[in-house]
Amino acid sequence: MINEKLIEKYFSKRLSEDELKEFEHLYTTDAIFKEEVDFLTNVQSVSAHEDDAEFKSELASYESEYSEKKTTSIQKWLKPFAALAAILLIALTLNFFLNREINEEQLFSNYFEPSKNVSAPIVRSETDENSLNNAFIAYGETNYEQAILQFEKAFSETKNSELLFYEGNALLASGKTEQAIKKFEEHLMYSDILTNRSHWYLALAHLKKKDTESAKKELNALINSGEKFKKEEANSLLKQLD
Amino acid sequence: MEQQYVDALKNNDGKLIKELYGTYRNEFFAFSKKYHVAQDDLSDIYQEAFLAIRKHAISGKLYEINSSFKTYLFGIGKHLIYKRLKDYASKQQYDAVLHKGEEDYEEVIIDQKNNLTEEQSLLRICFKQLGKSCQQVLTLSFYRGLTNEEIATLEGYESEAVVRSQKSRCLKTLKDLIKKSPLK
Repeated sequence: MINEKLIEKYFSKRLSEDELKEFEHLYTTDAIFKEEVDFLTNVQSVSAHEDDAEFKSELASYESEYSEKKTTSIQKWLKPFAALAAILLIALTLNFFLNREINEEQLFSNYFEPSKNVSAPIVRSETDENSLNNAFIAYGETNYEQAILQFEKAFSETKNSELLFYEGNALLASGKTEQAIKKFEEHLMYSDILTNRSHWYLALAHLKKKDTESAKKELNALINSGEKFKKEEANSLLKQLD
Repeated sequence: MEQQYVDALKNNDGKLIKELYGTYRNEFFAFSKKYHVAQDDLSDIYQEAFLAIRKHAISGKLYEINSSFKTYLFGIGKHLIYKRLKDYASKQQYDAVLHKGEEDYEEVIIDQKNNLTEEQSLLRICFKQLGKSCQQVLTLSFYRGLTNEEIATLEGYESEAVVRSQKSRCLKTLKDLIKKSPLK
């Protein structure tokens, strides 16, 4: 019969000196006793291993409370900063677009000037009431609304494609950019002495629409056409758009 | 050392241990950072130090220690930090010796042998197949070193005799599990 009490005292470290001597004696002489003690020592190691692991995970759970607190406090701090950052971003984006708008608008008004009447000398006469003459009079007086109507009428009468160019100018000058683009594109289908100049005004019209890619295309078309008209301006504008 | 802390560690007094953990945490983290311990390793080292001091509480070693709980904890921590720095050094060029001789806490050398023998590994598998109450009684008896009497009081068993019979039943089951184990 194994002395359980002795073993219990051994593991709870409560052996008296005499008991310790007895324990050691049994351990060296009694094989069954030794086997039991060795087994229990292994149980001790294994239970220690398991118990320590459990304790460590307990500590880790304390730690996670600190980490959670830390993140929540960071989030609290972060909120106003995030809001600030968002506002800044919006402001910067707006500023960027506003600046761009100003730039394109600026470029347009820097470069745009309705074409001079190089086609038909105006004949001021009370009797000559033809639309062509009226159109150029209105155009010269920057009365573009009137000019547009008269050019339209004159074109349908004469089929002179150059009139499309002036109508386009009038449209662009009066802020009807999209219609101006259509008109210049229509003009480009014809071939007259003003055809290539339409590339310049188309470029400006696209610029006003903030379509810089199309503007660049038209500028290149103008430069490559061999047209001398606004060539320098086209080059400098192209540089500014790149 | 403060008796109530030693008892708390020995008896697994979660509430007090948690409090202790919180009390020295920030200071210990700052202490570790002084030695350039990586951020990710801070809590691990702190927990290892707690684990080690608890082991010493269980083994009865702490009763002989005259220094305070904090000094001892940080001393163990220092030992673990040096060990960790050596690990860093083996991975990269890092002169851990630079930090030797810092005059803060006296290093407490501990031996950590966590690896189980093959025989113990098999035992562990069987041990984990036991019921929770069996595992608890065996842990309290053989690791924590509680007497049957103390276990009865702690765990609310009727008497020392109930604990004794429970314990022998658990050990018998454990031995049977080992005998039947296909891994043997």
